[in-house]
Order: sequence, then structure tokens, then C-alpha cells
Amino acid sequence: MSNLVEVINLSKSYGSLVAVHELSFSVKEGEIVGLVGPNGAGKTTTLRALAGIHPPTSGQIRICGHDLREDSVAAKRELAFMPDEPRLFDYLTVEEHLQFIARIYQVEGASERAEPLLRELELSDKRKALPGELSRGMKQKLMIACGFLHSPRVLIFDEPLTGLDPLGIRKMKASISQRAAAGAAVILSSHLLHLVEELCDVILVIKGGTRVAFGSVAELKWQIARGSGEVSLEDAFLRITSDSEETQRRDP
Amino acid sequence: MTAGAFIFVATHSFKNRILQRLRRLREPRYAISAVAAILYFGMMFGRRSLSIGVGRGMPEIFRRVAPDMAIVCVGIFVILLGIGAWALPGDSGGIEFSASEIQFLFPAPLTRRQLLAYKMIRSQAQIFLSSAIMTFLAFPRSRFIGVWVAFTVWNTYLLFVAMGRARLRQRGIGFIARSVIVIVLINAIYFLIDHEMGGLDLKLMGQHLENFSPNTLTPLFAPFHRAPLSILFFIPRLFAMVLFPAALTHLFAGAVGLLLLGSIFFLLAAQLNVSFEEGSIAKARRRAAGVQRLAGYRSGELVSLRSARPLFHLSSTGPAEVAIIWKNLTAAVRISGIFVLLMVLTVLAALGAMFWMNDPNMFMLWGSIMLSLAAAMAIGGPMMFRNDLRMDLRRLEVIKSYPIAGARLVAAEVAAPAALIVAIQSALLITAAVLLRGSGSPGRFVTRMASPEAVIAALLVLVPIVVIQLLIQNAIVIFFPAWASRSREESRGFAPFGQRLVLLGGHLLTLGFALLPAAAVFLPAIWIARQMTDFGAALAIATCPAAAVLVAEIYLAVQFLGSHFENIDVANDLDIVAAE
Repeated sequence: MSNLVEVINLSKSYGSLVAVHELSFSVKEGEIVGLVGPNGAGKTTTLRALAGIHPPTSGQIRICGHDLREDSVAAKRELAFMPDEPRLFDYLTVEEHLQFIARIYQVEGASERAEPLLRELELSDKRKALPGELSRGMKQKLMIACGFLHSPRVLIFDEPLTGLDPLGIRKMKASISQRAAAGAAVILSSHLLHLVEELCDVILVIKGGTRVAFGSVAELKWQIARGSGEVSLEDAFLRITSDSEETQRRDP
Repeated sequence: MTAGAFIFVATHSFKNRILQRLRRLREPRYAISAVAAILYFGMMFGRRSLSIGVGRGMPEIFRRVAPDMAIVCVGIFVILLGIGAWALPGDSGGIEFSASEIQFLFPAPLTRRQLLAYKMIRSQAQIFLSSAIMTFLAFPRSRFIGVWVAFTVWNTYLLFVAMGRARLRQRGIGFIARSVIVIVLINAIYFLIDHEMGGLDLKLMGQHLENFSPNTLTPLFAPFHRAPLSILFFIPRLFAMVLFPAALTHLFAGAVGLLLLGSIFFLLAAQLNVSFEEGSIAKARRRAAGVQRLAGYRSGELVSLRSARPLFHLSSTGPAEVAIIWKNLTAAVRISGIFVLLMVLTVLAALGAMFWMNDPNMFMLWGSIMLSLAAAMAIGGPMMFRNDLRMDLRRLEVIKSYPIAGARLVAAEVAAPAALIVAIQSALLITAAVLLRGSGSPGRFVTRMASPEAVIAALLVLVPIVVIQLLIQNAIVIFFPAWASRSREESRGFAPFGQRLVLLGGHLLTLGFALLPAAAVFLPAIWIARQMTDFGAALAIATCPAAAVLVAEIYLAVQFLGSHFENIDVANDLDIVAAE
């Protein structure tokens, strides 16, 4: 399986604040990577840099082989970014959002693709509604429908399960798994560790903008337990992030 | 005990607010804005305030009657507003509390009287600030104390009136009955003054002023020193005494009198013991909804014509930029459609009436108005029609993730408002030309400007000027996103006002610079063309190279802004993204 996302020594600073420092990882075709870390770890900054929203201070990002800096249009055509807060156009209906996105991404036969998507995300009876008439969860679903419409090969989700009800969460997990099974590379951030554990193949733990752990759930647990019995991902996460704090304190 | 807690909240809130504002001045955006606003207000009022005050800087004729004039003017103002306050529609007793005050104080073990006391103490910070500004701007002789006392007592009176209106509603006396009583009272006072002055003769009053003699002016105020007007003006006289004191003793006497009066108002308000909690919660919600509405209008959330169709069908393939234009035109139709429709209908109605009347003078008048509107649209249009990056400020991160090159995206963003403005301008110019030609005055300059050549020349220049201005406005979003947005919690005050001043100044300056090369080309071109042909044709010919220069500038600006758009850091410095 080929790497659809390659991040090499990504750094991002805001003035004197270093949000992400020398971060490197890759995501293969069909793989779901969970990006976890404490508040202010640099998760959203990383995701936004991957989506081409924030220009990196240094480092390289390649999406499906296209350098995001050199060939941004080709790279962006292959990805979809779903932010934590649905930013919709308040004056376009659900249906018009999909028409708009179809043109932006040059989607052939968009109406045929839109119908099953609207059904999958339970938006069929809301097609004429404006975002102001939708609940938070519905807005989130519309944002995701817009992201799925052009069948991107790379999907980037920032807290995709926020605002969804239990049934919505289950359906969203199924949708994400289905896209990954179809060959898309998925990167998502979440604070809900049990969901990350359930959904993701690989977990990337970052803290203070640096990578502190990267591997499968089993690998992370093994690394922490070191033969001393079973640990949960939550325990693993807490130990990894506190270990890194201690390391930083010892070796600043 | 509780008074101590109330004073603690009031003083610490005030202190923290001031400190927060001062801390913000470390950011260049706020510092520059504050300096601009202070300079502006300083220039506007600084010199004037030095000479304002009763008797100071006035001719001798007015100096002698100034105290009487102050009493009459302040008196009429206070009486009208004081009585008029009873006719205001609100009768829930709702006093304005913030959401956090409602959350903490309403469930707390406090009596209504204590809540009213809290409100009075809490309002002191605002009153102190307003008093300082008004002392500086208008009432320097009040030495701050006078204005502070006047504002505090007035505030207490309004609290009493709000409670009184609620109590009257409980007694079955509603808005209409109160309004009728207020109208009757105001009329009664008018007739009383009229009667006491022996019938107000405006012509005679005019003569008094023309003659400019203290002896002729003084009798005008004599009735105000006799009963019943002296009784009617007793309380207003106290306000005049503290705002325009003739001497320090007057100031203190007036202040003591007013403070006693304020205490009585407060005791009366507390005595009424009206249930204001529910009304206050409703008021807080209305206020929040109002703020939300304003922010929604700026960000395109306020859709007035939700079912209006997009102007054209958008197919799923073809240039991606068309999708941006389609989106922005749809936004314009749904958000500003009613406004444009009303404007068009008004103009059509006016034109219909004029053609029906068939009066050449009316043709000339309306033609000139249309011409002026077209010119005004060149400057006002780009500020009015904001359906571009300015409206998408909150969605910049989503837009940045689209696979469109920066320059193409910027061009598409400004295309929709430009198309709308140019359409309106063209309609106005063509209508103006038809009307001016219809007025049948070929010799006048304005009708010469109504030739087809002149209309074409005007459009050739106005279109790029509009586009340049839209680019300037969008450049603010790209280079200074925080300047293009407005803070939700700080929509008023020095810094936001200064921010608007700086932006307007910057806009006009940049426009001036952008027009300089075109003007440098236009002037020799029209001189040469004028040697060869008549004025209309020469104008059209000379405009072409100037317009070409402007188009070249637009191309360069789009490329420049596009490359910067790709590198814009939307998270950096965009602290509000609201109101907008």
C-alpha cells in the first residue's frame, strides 16, 4: 500500500510560539490515523497545515504525491477537510451546498452522487433547508457530505464526532470506516479515546507540537505495559504524555 | 454588607475593563485605532470645549441672559424627557442586567431593593466615564461633579419611571393610556407657558433677537421667575444649576438638592417593589438577539429572501471560479435583494410620475440626481456590497482548503459585488443620460455629459475604479484580517471608531495612489484628442488609455493579493471573526 500522506519535519510557529515542531509521519492507503494529544498539543494546527490552510513554517507535506506548497491545487483536489466547527454558507441550501462543492471539485455526475450521500447522512428531507434551520448535528453532517462528494483520497477530520447523537456517532464511524475500506487515507483528531481506539489503525500522540508516540493501539499499549499486564488506551495516553513532560523537565 | 460586595464588583469590573483596554493597546491595531480616534475627537471638540460654558466666549448681550437661557433650555429638555419617559412602551419593569448578573444575582438571597441598589452602584462606572467626557466636551464649568450628579439622578429617575410603568400596568393602565396622559400633560405645559408669556409671538421673539439688546431679551425670561412657571421649573432649575453653574455655591446647592431628589426617586422605586426579574431576563435575551442579528447581517447569516432562486444554474463542471461568483451572487440576492428591489421600485415610481408630468425641469432635476447617485455608487457601492471575502471572513479556512489558485479565487470573490455595482451604476447612468437629454437644455454642462460617448467614458473609468476599491477592501481581509472584523464585545468605543477611521483613511489614500498613474495618462491624452475632435469623442478616446492603466493595475493587484492569500494565516490574529 502506498503512502497517500507524507509529512516530513513539519514545523509551524506563530511568532515566538512553536505550535508544531519537526513532526514526521505518513498515512497509507486505507489507513485511519488518530491524532491525539492534550489541549494545545498542536493537533488542529497539524490538521490545518495538512489541509493547506496554514502554510507551514518549514517542512514538507505531500498529498497523493503532490507537494502541498508547490502544487497546492492538485494536492487539495485529492483531500477533504472537515473542521470541528461546521462553517457553512448561511445563504445556500443543503442542496446548493452540494452543487457548489461539485463545481469547485469538478465532480462529474454530481447529482447522482449527491442522492445516496444525502440518504446516508439523513439529509434527504432537509435538501431545501438553509443552515440556520439545521441542528448542530445536521450541520456537521452537511459539512461531511460536502467533504465526501468528490470521493477524496485523503480525509482530514477535526473532532468529527462532536455534536452528534449516539446514533449519529455510530453512523459516522461506519461512514469513515467505509471510506477507509474503499482506499482513502483518513486522519482524525479526537479527545474521545475509546472511539479512537475502536476506529483507528494507528495512533499519533503529540504534545507541545512534537511527536511523543506513533504506532498501532496494540504497540502503544505494549510499550507502556512492558509486560506488566493489560493497560487501557487512556492509561497509555496519560502515561505517554506525562512521561514526555518528565523527560522535558529532566532534559529541557 | 451587601453594599460592600456590590462596590467590590463595580470597582473591580471597571478597573479590569480599563486594564484590558490598556493591555490591548500593546497590539498595533488597537493602539493605532485609539490614537486616530483621540486625534479626531481632539480636533473636533478640543478647541470648542475650551470656549463652551455659560457666559464664556459669548457676546455681552447673551452673557447677561445666559443663566436664564440655560434654565429654560435645560428645563424644557428635562420636562419633555422626564414626562416622555412615562410614555415608553416597556412596562415589564425590566432593568438591564447582563447575562452573568442574572445568573449570579437573581438566585442569590437578595431583596429587590438590594438588586436595585446593585444596579445603581454598577451603573456608576459608565456614569463616571460619560460624565468625564461630557465635562470635557460640553460642561466644563460643572467641574465634573455637576454632570455626575445630574446623570446619577437622571438614571435614578429613569429607574423609578421603569418601576412606575410596571406598577401602572398592574393597575390596568397600559401604553395607550399612558401615552394619552403624557400628550395631555405636555400640551397643558405648553399652554401654561404660552399663557404666562402672554401668547408666544414668534415674530416678536425674532425681533428681540434681531435687536440684540439685553433690555429686550430679559423680559422674555421674566415669566420663568414667577409662579407657576418658577414652580414648574424648580427641578429643571437644579439640573441647570449643576450643569451651568454661575458660581461654585450654585453648583453645590444644586448638587445637594438633586442628590436629595435622587434619594427620593430611589426610595420610591424600591417602595414600588415591582417584580422585574422576568422582564430583565427578556430584555437580556432581546439584547443578545440584537447583537446576534447585527453580527449575522455582516457575515451573511441574515437571509431575508430565503426562497429567491440563484441568478443562474450552476453545472458541476467548468471553471471552478464560477462557483464562487454563483455563491456570492446568490448571497447578494438573498441578503440584499429586498433592499435593491425597494430601491429599484422607488426609482421606477419616481420616473413614472415624472414622465407623466412631462416637465423639462423635473427631467433635469432627476437626471442630475441619477448622475450623482451613479457617482456616489462608485465610492459607496464597494462599502455597501460586501458579498466577497469580507462576508466569508468566518469561513476563510474552508475556502482556503478549496483547490483554486489564490489569484483566481480573489478575482472570483470580487467579481460578484463588482457585477452588481456596475449593473446598478449602468442603469443609473443610462437613465440619467436619457433624462438629461429629455430636458432639452443642450447648452448646459450636465446635458453634454449625457451623450452616449460620455456614458461609455464614465463606465470605462467607473468600472475599474469600483473593482480597485473592492480589491482594497478585500486586501484588508487578506493582510489585516483582524482589522476587517469587529469584536463582538467591543463594537463601540474609541478603538472600534478609530479602526473605522483608519480603514477609511487607508482606503481613500490607496485609491488616490491607484488613480494617479491613470490621471497622468488621461490628462495628456484628452489634450491631444481635443485637438482632433469634439469634447464628447475626445473624452471617450482619452478615457481608453486611462482605463487600460487601471485594468493593468487590477491585474497586478489580483496576482499580488492571490499569492498572499495562499500564505495567509487565518488563525493568526483573527481573534473575533464575528460581527461582522
